Amino acid sequence: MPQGKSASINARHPSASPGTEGWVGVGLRHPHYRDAIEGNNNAVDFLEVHAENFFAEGGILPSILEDVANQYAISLHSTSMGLGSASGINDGYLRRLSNLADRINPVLISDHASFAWSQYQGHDVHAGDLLPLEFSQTGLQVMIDNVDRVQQLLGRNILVENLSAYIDLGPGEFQETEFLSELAHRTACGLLLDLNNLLVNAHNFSQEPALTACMRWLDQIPRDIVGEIHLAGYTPAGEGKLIVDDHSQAVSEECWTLYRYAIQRFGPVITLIEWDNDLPKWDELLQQAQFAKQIIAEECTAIAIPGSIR
Amino acid sequence: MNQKQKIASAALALALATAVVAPTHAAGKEKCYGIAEAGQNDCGNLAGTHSCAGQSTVDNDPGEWKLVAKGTCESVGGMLKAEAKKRYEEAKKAKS
Amino acid sequence: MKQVHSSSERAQLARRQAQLVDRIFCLKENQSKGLAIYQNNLRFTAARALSISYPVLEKLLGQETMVALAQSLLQQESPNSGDWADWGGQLAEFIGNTEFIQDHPYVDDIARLEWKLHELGRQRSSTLERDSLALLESHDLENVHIELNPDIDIYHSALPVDQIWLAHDAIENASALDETALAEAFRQYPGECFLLLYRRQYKPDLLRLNEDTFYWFQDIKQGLNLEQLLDRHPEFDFVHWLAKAVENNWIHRLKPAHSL
Repeated sequence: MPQGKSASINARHPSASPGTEGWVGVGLRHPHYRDAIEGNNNAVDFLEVHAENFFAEGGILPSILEDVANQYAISLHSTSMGLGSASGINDGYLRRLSNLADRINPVLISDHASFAWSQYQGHDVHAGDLLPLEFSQTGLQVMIDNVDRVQQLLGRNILVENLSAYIDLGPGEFQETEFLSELAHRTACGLLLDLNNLLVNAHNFSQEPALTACMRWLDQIPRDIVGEIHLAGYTPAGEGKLIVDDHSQAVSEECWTLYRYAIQRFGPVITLIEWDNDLPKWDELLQQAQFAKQIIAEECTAIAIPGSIR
Repeated sequence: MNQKQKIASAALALALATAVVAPTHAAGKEKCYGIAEAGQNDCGNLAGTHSCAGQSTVDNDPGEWKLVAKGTCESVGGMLKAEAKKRYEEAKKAKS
Repeated sequence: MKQVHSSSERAQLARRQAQLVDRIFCLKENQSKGLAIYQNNLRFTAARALSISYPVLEKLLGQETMVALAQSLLQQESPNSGDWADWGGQLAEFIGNTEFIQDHPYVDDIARLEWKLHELGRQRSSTLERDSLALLESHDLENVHIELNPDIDIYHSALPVDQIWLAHDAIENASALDETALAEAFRQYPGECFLLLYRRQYKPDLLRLNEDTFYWFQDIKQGLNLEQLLDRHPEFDFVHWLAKAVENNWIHRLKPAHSL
C-alpha cells in the first residue's frame, strides 16, 4: 500500500485539465436525458457523453445535447476514433467529431488505445468495437501519428484510455504501461485511467490477485500523465469464463479500493462513473458519484480541493 | 403574361400572405425525450449482458438461413390477406 | 535508433489488424473464448443498432430475428462510418431477397419506410428563404427550381404499410398491438399508399398524399424546373400547394437554374 497521502498536483502534464481537480461526473445515457435536463444540475460536476451518439446534425438529439451543455460541463468521450488503426482514421469521421466538439466546447475529449478502421472482404470497415493493440514499436508509432493528427485537428490535447482486452496478441516490445507512458510523453496526450478495465484484465489473465496486479500496474504509470479516471462495474462471470467489461453494475468494492489507491498516487483526478447497460435510476447513479467524491475528500485531506467548482 | 406565369404570380401572392407555422420546439421537447433514438455507440460490451447472448450462432449463409417472424408479423399478414380476399369477393359479386 | 515505422512494417500491422477483424466479422464458431466475446459484442451491437433504427420491424419480427438479421446483414453491408446509426440501410433490400418476403410482402416495405424515417429524423432542418419566392415573378419559370427542405421525403408502397407503421409506432411492444383497430384501418385504407415523410416538431411522421401530389414531389426531387412541373401536372393546384408548403416548412427556397 502507498505511504503518504500527499499526492502531488503540481507540475502536471499539459493534458491534465486545469480547474477540474476533484470533479466527479457520470455518463449520460438515453434513459436519463430528462432527469439530467429537468433535475437538479448541481448534483455532479460534469457529464460525459459518447460523441458518436450525437453525430446527427438535426432532429432532437442536437437539441437535447445543447440543453445539456448549457447546464453542465461536458466530457466528450468517443468510442470509434480507432487511434491505433494502422490504416489511419477516416476523414469524414474526424470532421464530424470536430464539428461536434466545436458545437459543445467540451472540457475533455477522449477515446481508447484501440483500433477499429480496417478492411473486411475488400471493403473499408469500422469494426464497431475497441479492438486490442500490439504493444510494439510500429504500434506505438501508429498511435503517435494518429493522436498527433487528431490533436492538431481539434486544436487541443486528448486523453487516451487503457483497454480491457480479451485476446492475447503475444508479448510485445513494451509493457502496456510503458506503451501508454511513452505515448503520453511523445504526443502530450493524457492517460484516461480506466480502473475497471484494469481489474477485468487482471481477473481474466493475471496469475496473481487482481488488486495486487492492478496496483503494480498503477505504480508503473508516471504521476503526471493521468488526466481522468473511469470507474465502473461488471457482471461476474461463471467458472472458466472470461469477465466481460459490460458496464452493467454499480462500481465494485474492488474498484473502489483501487480508486482509493489511485487517488493517493495521482491526486484528485477528475473522475467518471461509467454505466452503460441495465442502467439504474438517475439518483442511484448520482449516489455513486457522491461516493467517489467522499473518497477524494478522505484521501486528499492534505491538499486543498476546490470543492464543487461549478 | 401566359397562363403558367399567371399561376406563378398567384402562387407568390398567396405564399407571401402565408405564415410559416412556427415550430414550437421549446414547448414540444418537454414531452418528447422519448422519441430520441437511443445511443447506438455505447461502450459497455454487450457480449455478456444481452438476453440472447446464450443462444447458439445462426448460420451465416443468407441462402440457407430462414427468416422466421416471432412478432406481430403473421397476424398482420393474415389481416392484410383477409381484407384483400374480402375485396376480391366483393368485386366478383358486383360483377355477377 | 532503428527505423521502426517504415511503411512496410505499418502495412504488415494493418494486415494483422485486418486478419483479426476478419476472424471476428466472419462470426464463425471458434475455440478462442476471447474471440467469441468480440464476435458476440459485434452481433449484439449490430442487432441493437437495427432495433433502434427499425423499431416497428422489431415488433413485427421479434428481437431474436433482429439478431439473426443483423449478423447476416453484416456479411453484406460493412459498418464504415464509426457511427452505428449509419449502418443498416441495406436491410430492406436484404429482406427483399429472401424467400420469406413472398408470404410477407409488406416486411421489406416497412424496412424501407423506417430507414427513411430514421434518416430524416437526423437531418438538419432549414427554414424558408422567403425572399427567394420573388423568383416566381423575376425569373422565367424554366429557370426556377424548388428546393425542398432536407428533412422531408416521399414514399410509395403497393400495400397500406402506413397503417401497419402507425399501429405499431404507438405501442411499446408487439403484444400491445390492437388488431381490431388495424383491421379497421385496412378496411378504410386498402391498397397502395403514397406518403410524405416529415418531422412534426422533432418526431418523424407520415402523411398520406394523393397520387398527383406524390408525383409532383417526385418530379421536384428529380430536378424539374417550374415550367416543366406545370407542364407535366396541368391539373395540379400549384397556388394552394405552395401556400401549404410554406406553411409547413416543406420548402427551403426557390433557386434560379444557374445556382444548381
